[in-house]
Amino acid sequence: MPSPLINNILVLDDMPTIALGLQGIFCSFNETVHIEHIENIFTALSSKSLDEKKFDLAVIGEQLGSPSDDLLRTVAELQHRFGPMKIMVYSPNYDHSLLEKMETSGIDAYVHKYEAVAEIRKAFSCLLAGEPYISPIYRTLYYEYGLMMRK
Amino acid sequence: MWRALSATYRITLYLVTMPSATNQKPTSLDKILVIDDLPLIPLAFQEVFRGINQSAVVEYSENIFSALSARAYASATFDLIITGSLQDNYSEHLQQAVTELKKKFGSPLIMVYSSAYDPVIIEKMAATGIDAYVHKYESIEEIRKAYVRLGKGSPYVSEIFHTLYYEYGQGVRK
Repeated sequence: MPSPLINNILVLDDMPTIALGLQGIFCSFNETVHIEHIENIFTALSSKSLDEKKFDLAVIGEQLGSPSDDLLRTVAELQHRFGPMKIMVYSPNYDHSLLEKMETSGIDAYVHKYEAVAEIRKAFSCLLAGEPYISPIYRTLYYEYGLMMRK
Repeated sequence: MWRALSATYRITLYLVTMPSATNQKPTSLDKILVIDDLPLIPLAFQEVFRGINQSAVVEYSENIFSALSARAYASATFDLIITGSLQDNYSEHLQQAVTELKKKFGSPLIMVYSSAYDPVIIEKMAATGIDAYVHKYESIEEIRKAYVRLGKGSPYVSEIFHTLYYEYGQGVRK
């Protein structure tokens, strides 16, 4: 079943250029997209300026601790503060356990930071359609080399 | 009064101690090559630069090796190369990479876009041929400033690096 439109997006990333790049992509789907860029999870969770805000999607690009426990905690905290929303993890780090826990932890897309712009577009299309998304780099690592990379 | 004087002093100090400009003439920075692992970065730069200069066109390469060897860029020239994929610290390798880029692409201006601080890069900017040194966590406004300053023929060190070097300089040196 198609999801409602994604209008309000929270981007957590150290680099403001990441938020601007994502805005360019998301706006090509929906011109009314509004992106709120926050450098890190602590600011997102404590900022008073975000008190009344609701988001349809959070993109977590900030490099959090490994393994995935920190990230899963972050997802839970964000959902707790801002209400239910879609989650896209946009990371340069491969974590097989995250792939295994996507469904149960509320992560809708797991995208490698080195993926081409076309892949980010695909991820957003899937999010709009209410489908989960795993980028090809992670897919290859997991399904083709999965067992070797497991701890 | 003191605050105003302090601000003036800081500006004067900045102008005196900035590395000497490698490019004194105003230039139109239309053709830009962004070298970075992250494909989103050129998209963002294009957006920023187009807001200042409608003729700005941003090309993209994942790393310096593909930029130097790509057939698509065999006879290309650029006005500005932004590289986020060089080594974080000053080294022979960095010097060589900058020289190669300048040689191959028609002496473009070079902006190092990095998330790591190395005071030696600031000290050797002019000698190395680096025209701007911008931290990856800088705001979009800082990137705009860097582009405008480079277009006017002046070198640029972004605020984060500037503070680290000029205010805490000796303390953080290796």
